[in-house]
Amino acid sequence: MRYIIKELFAEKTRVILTILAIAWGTFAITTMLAIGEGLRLTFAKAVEGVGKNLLTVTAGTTAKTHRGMANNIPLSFTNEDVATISSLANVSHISPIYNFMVRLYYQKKFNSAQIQAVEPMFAQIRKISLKNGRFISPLDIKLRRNVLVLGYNTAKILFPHTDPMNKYVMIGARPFLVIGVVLKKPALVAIDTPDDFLNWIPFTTYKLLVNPKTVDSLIIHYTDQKFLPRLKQEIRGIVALNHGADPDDVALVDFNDIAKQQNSIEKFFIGLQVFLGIVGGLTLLVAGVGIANVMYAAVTRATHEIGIRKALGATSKRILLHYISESLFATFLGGLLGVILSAGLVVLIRLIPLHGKIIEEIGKPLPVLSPLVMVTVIIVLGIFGGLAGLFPAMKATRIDPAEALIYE
Amino acid sequence: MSDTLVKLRDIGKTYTTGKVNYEALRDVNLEIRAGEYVAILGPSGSGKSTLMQIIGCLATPTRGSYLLAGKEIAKLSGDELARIRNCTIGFIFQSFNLLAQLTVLENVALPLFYRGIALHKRQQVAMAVLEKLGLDSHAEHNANELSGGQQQRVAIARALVIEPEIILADEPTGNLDSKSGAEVIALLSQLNGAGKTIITVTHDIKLAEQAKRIIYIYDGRIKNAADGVIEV
Repeated sequence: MRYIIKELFAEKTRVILTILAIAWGTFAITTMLAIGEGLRLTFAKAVEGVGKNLLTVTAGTTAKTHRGMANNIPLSFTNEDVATISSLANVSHISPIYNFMVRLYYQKKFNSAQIQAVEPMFAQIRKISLKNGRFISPLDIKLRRNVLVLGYNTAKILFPHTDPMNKYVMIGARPFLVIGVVLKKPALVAIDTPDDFLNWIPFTTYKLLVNPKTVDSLIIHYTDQKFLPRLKQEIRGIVALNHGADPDDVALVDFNDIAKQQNSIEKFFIGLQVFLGIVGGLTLLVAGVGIANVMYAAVTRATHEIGIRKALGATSKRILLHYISESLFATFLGGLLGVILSAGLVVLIRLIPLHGKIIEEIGKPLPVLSPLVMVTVIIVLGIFGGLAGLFPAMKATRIDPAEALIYE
Repeated sequence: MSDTLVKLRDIGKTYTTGKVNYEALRDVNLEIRAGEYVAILGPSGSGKSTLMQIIGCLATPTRGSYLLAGKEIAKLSGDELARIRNCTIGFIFQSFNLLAQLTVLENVALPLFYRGIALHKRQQVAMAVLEKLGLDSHAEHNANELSGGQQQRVAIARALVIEPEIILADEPTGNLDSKSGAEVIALLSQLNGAGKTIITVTHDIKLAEQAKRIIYIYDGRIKNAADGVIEV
């Protein structure tokens, strides 16, 4: 070990420059991966905000004629459809949604906004967080109360300076009590309208006022993603059967599969990680070539000495091990320096205050030196260090002891 | 009658440089018994260095058979030869060939390292040999801090540490002043007296005089090819 250090530093300047190059390469790859990881985690959190295992189902239009059913007939879910779908095995919860656009008034201010008439579970399914007050309760449903949960956007427009809680907002000619205001929510994956632009009332209140025979869409919370394709098929079958349409007609029902969008965003960030890793890896490769160069010079310089070692009984394995460990040691020193620099930079970046619309939207993307990043860096360094040593070491093993002893 | 340690039969060695073939050794037949003290003499380019390399398992012959302690080694691989050198042959070189960055103790212990002996044990064995040669006070010095005579004695310690069957000394006094040279010659004679087999290549007449047998080599052949040797 002591000997390895001594031999390595025989050509000080060259070795130090090479170790610095490795440090820089490590720094580059570690920092890039840390930033990529930070972005991925931040976006993953934003994506998860919508909720997992969610399927939005909207009634479509017939595209095929089927036993007297014409094509191009728009369909709506009936209460019977909803009852049958909710009894399917993979469905853990189902929530009907009635959408309508309306003008909301408060004193002299107004806002045209979308209202969704939903049930209490909706808040959990869609992970709606309240800034103040509460979401629609089972009692609101039972008593068909005229209560309203304001979305972030409507609350901002109607109540720019005052607290909207317990105020009455007019929907058409009816006063609705504001029982809750929703937190601003990062939404990269939206189901149609972003949550910030929605407002909510109990679906029983809506039914009482309008008495709808049909449901616009359903949010289905399912148990197992594995059986999602089957679930979709079953839903289509039920709708086809109840409405007398062709069960093979894919246009009958529109599915908005959140998991699919989440997956594609996840894939994008994994791709970004790989890309950043490759850029960092190339920087490290250049440094690795530097190590290999220094090691080649060391082997050439040590030809006579390798001859002595072989004469004394050193086998190829011993010589190989000697030069590979020398290379790994240099790589380790550079790598350690690079990781320390990178960790320092990560801490500095975390201290920088970030503002702006996007930051508010998705949260602050902080670089993360996750175990995954560290393991990747260590593996890459190990491979480069090993290879940089391997080729010069193989040259060393081919040295003929008889010739090397004459060579000075 | 002692056992035959080295048995060369019809050994030839040809070096090829581009299209030119150079015959360094031809039809060499030689037997050396355990406990002998043999000096190989000959002018430069006579092939004596090549003969030393072959006896020392540093090079393999192009033709012929080499039995070392009854084992055929002419066709062995590089690593197999390394193991045989490591256990059988103690080398002493003209330019000492110590590793300058290592201490005296580390140098002497190096062959045992290649034998896979643990650090503590090999330092113990190396130290015992250094004590025998009166070098123990220099154990922690770097090899390049010593005088030429001291360095050559360290090299002899390194050769002895493996308990070799043969000590091969290639011009062991060539880089030494006459006083240090005399010490080394005395040491080699003493070792032979203790039963060690010694083969040396030399120009030093004082060293050659100590040998019990002289082999003269010229143009790649052992002179007086009829019996292969000239007895002194």
